[in-house]
Amino acid sequence: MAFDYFGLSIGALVIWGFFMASLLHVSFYILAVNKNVQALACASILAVSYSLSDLTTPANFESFDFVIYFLYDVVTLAAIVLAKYLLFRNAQKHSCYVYCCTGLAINAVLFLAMFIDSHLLGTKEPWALWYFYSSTVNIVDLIMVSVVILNRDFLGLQLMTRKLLNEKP
Amino acid sequence: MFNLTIENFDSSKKSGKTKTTSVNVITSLENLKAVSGGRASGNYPKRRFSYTQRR
Repeated sequence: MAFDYFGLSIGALVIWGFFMASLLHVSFYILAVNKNVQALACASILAVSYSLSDLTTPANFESFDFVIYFLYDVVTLAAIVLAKYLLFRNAQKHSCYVYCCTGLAINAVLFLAMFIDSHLLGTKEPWALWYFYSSTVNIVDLIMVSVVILNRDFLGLQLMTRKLLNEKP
Repeated sequence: MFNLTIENFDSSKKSGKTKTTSVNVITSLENLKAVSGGRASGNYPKRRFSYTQRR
């Protein structure tokens, strides 16, 4: 099926998107068009993280690779939170920060679930969890790319977190 | 999926050579499924294709 090769192009598109987003925010920052440090930090950290994870994992997919991807997501999430406290501690949280943290957390949970199922439990044949993981990771990554570029709360996630945490807009 | 081989269109009686080429293409395409594609691909481990096993 053509869908078997779909992930290959999506993976490349996501990394390209993160690099384009970081270049966009670097140029905006240098030209003083929009000095959005949060978007710049999120885009740069994600671009570096996704590139490193692709460079350091083997081309042949093994079930053990899921735990490496899980660790990459956890470290990336920690790096974004650390950047927030170092660079923009007192600033209002932007959509890119909220969406990147949520997206990375969702991806990390899915990678861990896939590692437990395929490596620890030894499942060999794809089932509902695998299809759910496959589609969700693609959707979440594409949403992260869009939000890092546009910095808009188009799913209402930021509004929801503000209401849940009783934060002022 | 790839039953239609180059051999079917070949009238030069070099079917052996063209068949080998088409088999290589099939194997390469099938093996591409086993490629990781990276963290954002959403791929999962798939078995590598072996032409002799399918036959």
